[in-house]
Amino acid sequence: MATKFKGYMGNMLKVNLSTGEVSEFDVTDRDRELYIGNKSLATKILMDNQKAGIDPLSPEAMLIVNTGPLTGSNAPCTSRFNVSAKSPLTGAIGASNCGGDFGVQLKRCGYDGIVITGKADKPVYIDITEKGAEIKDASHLWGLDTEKTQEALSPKTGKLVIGPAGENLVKYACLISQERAAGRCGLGAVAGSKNLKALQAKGSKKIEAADPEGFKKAVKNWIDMLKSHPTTGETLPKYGTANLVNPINLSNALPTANFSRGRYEDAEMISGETLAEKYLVKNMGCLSCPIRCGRVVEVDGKQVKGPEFETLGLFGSNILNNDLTLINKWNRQMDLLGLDTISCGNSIGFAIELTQKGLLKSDLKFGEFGWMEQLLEDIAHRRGIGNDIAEGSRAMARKYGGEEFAINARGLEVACYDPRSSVGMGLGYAVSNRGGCHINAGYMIFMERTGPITMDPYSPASKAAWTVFQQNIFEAVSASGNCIFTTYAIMHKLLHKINKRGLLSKIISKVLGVSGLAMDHTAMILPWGMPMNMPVMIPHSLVIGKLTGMKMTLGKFLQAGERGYNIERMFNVREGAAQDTLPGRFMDEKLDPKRPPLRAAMAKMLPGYYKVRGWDATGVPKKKKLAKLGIGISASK
Amino acid sequence: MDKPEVTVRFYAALRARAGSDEILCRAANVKDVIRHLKSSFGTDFNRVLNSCHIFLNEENIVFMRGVSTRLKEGDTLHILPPTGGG
Repeated sequence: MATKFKGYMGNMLKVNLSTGEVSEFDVTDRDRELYIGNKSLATKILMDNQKAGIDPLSPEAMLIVNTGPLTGSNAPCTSRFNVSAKSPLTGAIGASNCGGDFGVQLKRCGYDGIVITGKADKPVYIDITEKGAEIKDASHLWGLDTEKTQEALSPKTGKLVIGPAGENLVKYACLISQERAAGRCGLGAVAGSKNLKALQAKGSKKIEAADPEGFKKAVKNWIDMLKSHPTTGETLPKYGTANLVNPINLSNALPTANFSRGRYEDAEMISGETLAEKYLVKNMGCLSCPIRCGRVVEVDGKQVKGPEFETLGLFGSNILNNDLTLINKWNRQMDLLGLDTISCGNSIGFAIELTQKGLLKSDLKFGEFGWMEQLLEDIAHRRGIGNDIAEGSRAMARKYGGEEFAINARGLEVACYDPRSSVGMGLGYAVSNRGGCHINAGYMIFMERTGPITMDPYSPASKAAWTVFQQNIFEAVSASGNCIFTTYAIMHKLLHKINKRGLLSKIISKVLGVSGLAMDHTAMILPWGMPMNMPVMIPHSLVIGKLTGMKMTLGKFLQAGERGYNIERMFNVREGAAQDTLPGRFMDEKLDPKRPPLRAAMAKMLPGYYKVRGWDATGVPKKKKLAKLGIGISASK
Repeated sequence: MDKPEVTVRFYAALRARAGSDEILCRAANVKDVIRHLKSSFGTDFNRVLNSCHIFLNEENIVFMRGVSTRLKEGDTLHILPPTGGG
C-alpha cells in the first residue's frame, strides 16, 4: 500500500511463521500522521491486531520490527529502529529501540516494518530483499552466539539476531544488530519462542524527501548544533554514557550493593574518565550519528563494544566490583549471549542479596566474582540457579521472597539511577509504560541533577508536569526514528554558558520549580497552542515536516508523543499491567539519613501526574483524553 | 592563621582542560576556590567552570550555603560539568 508521505517506504510485511505465508500489512496514512512510526505505531498495530491476554511466548503473539520516517534518512542519529511485542518479562507493552543497521537496510528494501506471527517448526531466519521476504532454514545457526550468527549470514546485509538467551527464552533476552542491542523487555525471547533466529535485509531503494533542499539545510543545521553542544559535541563523544558514573555517584544515586546505598567509594575506578584513560581504543557511532557515544575497548585481544553507564553501574557498584576489565569482559559475554545487561545485572544483584539474607542457597557474593562468567552462561542456557535468575527479579521474589528489595517496576528491572535522590525519576519509573526504564520514565534526573539548569531533586513540586513533558518528547523522538540523545540539545548550549552560581541560574531554577501549572496548560493546548517549529532547540518537528511533507509543528509533534504514551498505557490497561508502584526499598527505606524515602513524595506526585495526563485516579486514560488524541479510531486493517 | 587546605577534583571536560585530576588549594570558602581556579587556568577552563555543579565532599553546595559555604582542612570539592547520557 502506498503512502502520500515521503520518508516512509509505504509498505510493511507480514510473515506467518506457522504457515509460511508472506503478505503485505497495511498501515493508513492517518495512522502515520497520528503515531509517526516505531514504538508508537507498533503499539497501535498490537492494539488493533493482537488479542488481549495472550501468552507473549505463544505462536499467536506478534513481534513487530519497524522504523520511523527519519530512519535511514541521513538526518543525524537516525539508524534507530524499533522492536515491539507484549513483554514476556512484564506482561506489559514491550518496546526496544536499536541503533544497528537492520532498520536502514529494511527501508532500502522498500519496507517500513515487518509484523511476525506464528511459530516455525524448526529454526528459521527471515531474508528480506526488494522482492519481499523469504523464510529460510536456520538449523545451522541455532546455538550460535550473536556474533557468529551475524558472521554466518550474508555479508553486507543489515542483521538482527538472537543469541542462546533468546533461544532459551530468558525473560530478558535481547536482539542484537551489529553490536547494538534492542535490549529491554525480553523481546529476544519472543523471537526465540517463534524459532526465529535472525532477520537480514539488503536493498538499494532511496528514501526520498518531500522538500529535498529544505531537508538538507535543516539537517546541516541540526548536525552543526549537535557538534557544537557541550553534551553531544564533547562529553558524550569523549566519555560515552559512562561519563555519568561520577556525577550520579556524587548525587547519591549510583546503585550500590543492590540499591542499598547510593555512593560507591570506588566509583572513579569504573568511571567514564577511567574508561577513556585506560581502556578506550576509540569511540564509535551508529550510522549517521555525529555524537558517537559508543566505546570501543579491547577484550581478549579483540576490539569490541565497551560498556554503557548502566552496565558499569549494575556490574560495578551494584555488586561491589571495582574492576573495569571484568565489566568489559562480561559486557562482551552478555552481548554474545544476547542478554539485556540492565535486567541481568539488577537480577544478579538481587540474587546476591537473597543469598546474603539466607533466602537463597548459592555461592553468589558481593565483591567476589569467580562465579560470574559461568553464571552468565548458566542464565543464558537456563542451568541451575541461572534458570531462576533468567526469570527476572519479580519472578525470583515470588519464589524466594524479598519483594521489597527486588528492584523492578512493573516487572522490568530498574535502570542505574536510585530515585530516592531524584524524586521525579521515582515518579517516572512508577508510571513508565514499559516498567523500570529510565528513558520511558522521562529521565528526570537530567532536570534534577545532571543538566545545566536543575530543579530541587527532593521536591515533588512541578515534577508531574515535567515528567509528562519529557515522556512525551522522548516518545515522539523515538517514534520518528531518531535517537533520544539528540534531546540533550533541548537545553540550548547558551544555558551551559550561564554562571551556575549567578542570579539568572537561580531564577531559572526557581521558575522551573513553580512551572507545573503552566506546563499543565501546555499539555491542554496541544497541538494548536504551538503552531510553529523551534529548530534551535527541538529541530525534530521541522525536519520531519521537510522529509515527509506532513504539516508537522512542534505542537503536533509533542501531541504525537502524548498519543503514543496514551496508547501504550491503554495496552497495559487491557493486559492488566497498569499498576504504578515502586519496590518497598525505594518507598520506605532511607538512602540519606537526612532525607525521607519516596512514599510521601510519591503520594503527592502520582495524583498530580494522572491529572496532567487526563487519566483517572487509577491511572486509566479518560475517554475525553482518548477522544481528543484520536485513539480508538481504528484505521489499521 | 592559614586558610584550610582542600582538594579540588575535576571531572570530564573540566579534567581535560585542567590537565590533571585534582589540585590542592588553600581556601576559606567555595568562592575562594573559584577565584583561585579562574586565575590558574585558561579562558576555556573558566567557560566550562561557570556552568559546573560543585559538590563539597558528598553534598551539592546548592543544598548548603552556595559559594559562601565554608571549607575546613581536608575537605574535597568536586567540580563537574553538566551532562546527559543514560
